[in-house]
Amino acid sequence: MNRKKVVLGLRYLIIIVSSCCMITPFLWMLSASFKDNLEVFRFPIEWIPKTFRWDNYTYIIEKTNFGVLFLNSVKLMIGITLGQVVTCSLAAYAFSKIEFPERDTLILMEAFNPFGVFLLVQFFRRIPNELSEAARIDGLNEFGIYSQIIMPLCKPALASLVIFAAVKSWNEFLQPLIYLNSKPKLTIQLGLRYLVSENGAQYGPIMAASVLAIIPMVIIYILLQSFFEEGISTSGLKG
Amino acid sequence: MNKAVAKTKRSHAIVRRNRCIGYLFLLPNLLGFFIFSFIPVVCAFILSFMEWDSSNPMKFVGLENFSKLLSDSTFKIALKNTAVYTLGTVPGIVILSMLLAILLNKGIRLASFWRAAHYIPYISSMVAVSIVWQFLFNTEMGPINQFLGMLGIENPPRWLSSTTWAMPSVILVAIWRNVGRYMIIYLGGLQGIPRELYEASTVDGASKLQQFRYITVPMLSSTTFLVTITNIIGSFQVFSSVYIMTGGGPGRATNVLVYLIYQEAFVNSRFGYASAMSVILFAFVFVFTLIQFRGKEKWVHE
Repeated sequence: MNRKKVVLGLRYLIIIVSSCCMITPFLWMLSASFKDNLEVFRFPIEWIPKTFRWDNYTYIIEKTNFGVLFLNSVKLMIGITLGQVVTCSLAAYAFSKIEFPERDTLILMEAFNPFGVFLLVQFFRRIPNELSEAARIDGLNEFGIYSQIIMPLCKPALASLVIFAAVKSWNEFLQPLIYLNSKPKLTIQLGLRYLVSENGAQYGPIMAASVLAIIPMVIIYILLQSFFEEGISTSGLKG
Repeated sequence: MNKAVAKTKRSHAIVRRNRCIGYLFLLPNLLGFFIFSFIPVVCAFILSFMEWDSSNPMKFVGLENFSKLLSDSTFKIALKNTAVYTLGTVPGIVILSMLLAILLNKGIRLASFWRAAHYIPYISSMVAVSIVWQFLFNTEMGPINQFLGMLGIENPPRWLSSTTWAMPSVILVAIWRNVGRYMIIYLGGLQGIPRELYEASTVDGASKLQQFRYITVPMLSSTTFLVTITNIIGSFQVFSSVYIMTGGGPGRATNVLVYLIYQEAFVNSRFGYASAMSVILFAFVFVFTLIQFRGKEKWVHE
């Protein structure tokens, strides 16, 4: 009995230490975003700043074009995510619910588009075909079965896909770096990178901008976490 | 006899109808595949036989770009660095994420909080995270070296500004960022292991360690396969962290393949040469994607 307690204690210890390693850089960033340039690197670290300097945030929001970039990123994210959800779910429906000879060859193409289609195929397969048969007899067409029967049953998988697609498009850096050149059209990630190269020594505002670039995804993740993990653990990603 | 003919006719009609509907459902996805994957890849292949700086007309040069690659020392270093990065990140991520998943699997309070703590690095912008780590790693002012100094370490590593430590630092950040993502996938894998296996082995007197060695690890093998391959493919394509944290330096210490391709194409405007490198990268990614797909097929077809 005692050994069990020791083992459990050890498990907690490792988990807590590991979680601290994960979170500490964010806490440092958050606290630095409220400090002025002299305070940012002061040691020992003042985790809770004596005075909260909100002017780092007002500087970023008022003096740079971060508002515009933020909006650009939001638009891009919504567009890409919607596109992913629609195209992947339609394709997954074809791969799991419609039988035709070339189907298994076509699925090869999806090898280049990880997660999306495969994740949904796993989910769709689990829905008994009797359900769609019954709907078909009731006169629902194929698209109706997809949109009114299958999709509502797959919320966890769709939540996972939304998180994957939203996070990926929001954080994407290389593609916008290559394709977007005009300043008013940049994404928040590009803006952050230019902020660093143009005002590299303004530590506080840079940290504030970094916080702003991270927060939306953290919020989406926290809102969808339970759905998302259900989606992952019941999908084909398991062993 | 007539009945049978009618039946095959009907089933032909069904096949035709299904095929038609099937393609209709696949259309948006296939269009996306052609526009965003297929056509760019074909363009890169064609460009790899050309010389092109985007302002002067294209010139066909045959295999010249590829033969130049063979004697390009920077390309060789970039290949080597990419391999080092892959070998550094993949085993670390696989082992750590599996162990963390096992530790977090059952009977832990606040489990969803701990999971979120590990997942947040992965959903955070690589640009933002790289900037933060750049600050943390700062040689003189950074909290890491200040802390090491407090412990009495006199010459702490110069991290991102040292040719020896830059790559390990980049690898460390990659492990830190990705462990949580794969931990979640392993947690899914763990839920697929039937409890009876553990119960039966407990009856047989197996220790926890033996259970880990003979039940958990083998039962997770397909997850491990997936995690390993996805990770390898991802590591080949590392870019943002290098671009932000080191700019490929110091010297060429962290110059990786995608970074070099980016430099050649969009800084030096040597699109043909950069495309030749992309073709090599594509070949690597393609091989591992095929391997992954073979594995995936197994679980897609149950």
